[in-house]
Amino acid sequence: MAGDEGSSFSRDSMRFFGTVSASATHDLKNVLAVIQENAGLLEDLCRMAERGRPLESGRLMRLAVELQQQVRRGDRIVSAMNRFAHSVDEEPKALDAAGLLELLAVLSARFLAAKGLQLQTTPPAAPASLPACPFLLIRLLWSCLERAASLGCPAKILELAGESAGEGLAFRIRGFAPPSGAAAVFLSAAETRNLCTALGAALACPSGSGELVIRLPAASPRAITRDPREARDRAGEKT
Amino acid sequence: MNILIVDDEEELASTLAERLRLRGMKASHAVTGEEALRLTTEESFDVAVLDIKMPRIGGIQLKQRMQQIQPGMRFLFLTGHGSDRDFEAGVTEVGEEYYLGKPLDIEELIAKIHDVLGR
Repeated sequence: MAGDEGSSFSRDSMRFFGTVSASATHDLKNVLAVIQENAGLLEDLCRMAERGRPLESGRLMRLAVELQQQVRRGDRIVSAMNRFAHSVDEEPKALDAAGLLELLAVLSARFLAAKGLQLQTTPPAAPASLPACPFLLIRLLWSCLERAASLGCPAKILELAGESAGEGLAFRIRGFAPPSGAAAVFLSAAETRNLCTALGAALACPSGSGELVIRLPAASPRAITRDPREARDRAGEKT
Repeated sequence: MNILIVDDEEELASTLAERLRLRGMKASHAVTGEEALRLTTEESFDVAVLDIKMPRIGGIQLKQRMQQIQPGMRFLFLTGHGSDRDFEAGVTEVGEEYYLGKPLDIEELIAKIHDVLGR
């Protein structure tokens, strides 16, 4: 990979990390704001009770339930952010497809909601994993989801499903309006092409299926590397 | 005094409106820009408190559309972050004094409501 291309890849990685972090922290601010208002309302009701207004136990119970729900929501976001942060420094390892889908669902929720969309994920029927760099795979799936969202989603729901594909993995994105030559549209972004190269992934939009299929091969040298330049070099050695 | 809270976090919008009602104000809430626009055609509001980042219609755009319906309405904005581009664009347009960061302080919100009505 030429120097300019390598530094562009690094810049894209930094930009992606920033996008995901900003989205997650924005979501957390909302969690804190809801907790703050619920706690404030609890305080208001207690002060009014001191002045003689009866406390309604059902209202208190609903506030307690909401507070617990927000704490769980915040915990999901922080846990996902922690896993995402470690995806940068982790060595390539066997990635569990179901866990990856769950992580993407949490991380992308705010980003997609801002576009009026929801993500529905479907894990593989049986446990499926693949040795790969987690950060690059998250980036590839995110970039495909981002492009799919930009193509229009009539039902306002994007579906992301994982499945075993031989000894490898496949992910399917549905719910968007695929244009003709849809795979080429996805691959028109240099970032997506570079990620496919680094992971040894192939994109396809089977005619009439209305879906994008992202296929990842079984543990080839390219599928597990963390460095796209190394991936390109190894690919060159093979040819 | 009639206040409209607009935020796509329904629990936040509804609780804020309830807390304002407990303090003697009239307050409603909406969770989308479209719902806020509908309420604006049905009812007269003194102040609208708008979340900056909402799906489809963000706070700044919503303010412009609501002002066409009720030119006398005043606005405050909620933001999760003081550094995002929407915030900076909004500050340029309406001024930093009209912003409140999340999580909110209800007394600060009420002070801002009185402040914006006094301008």
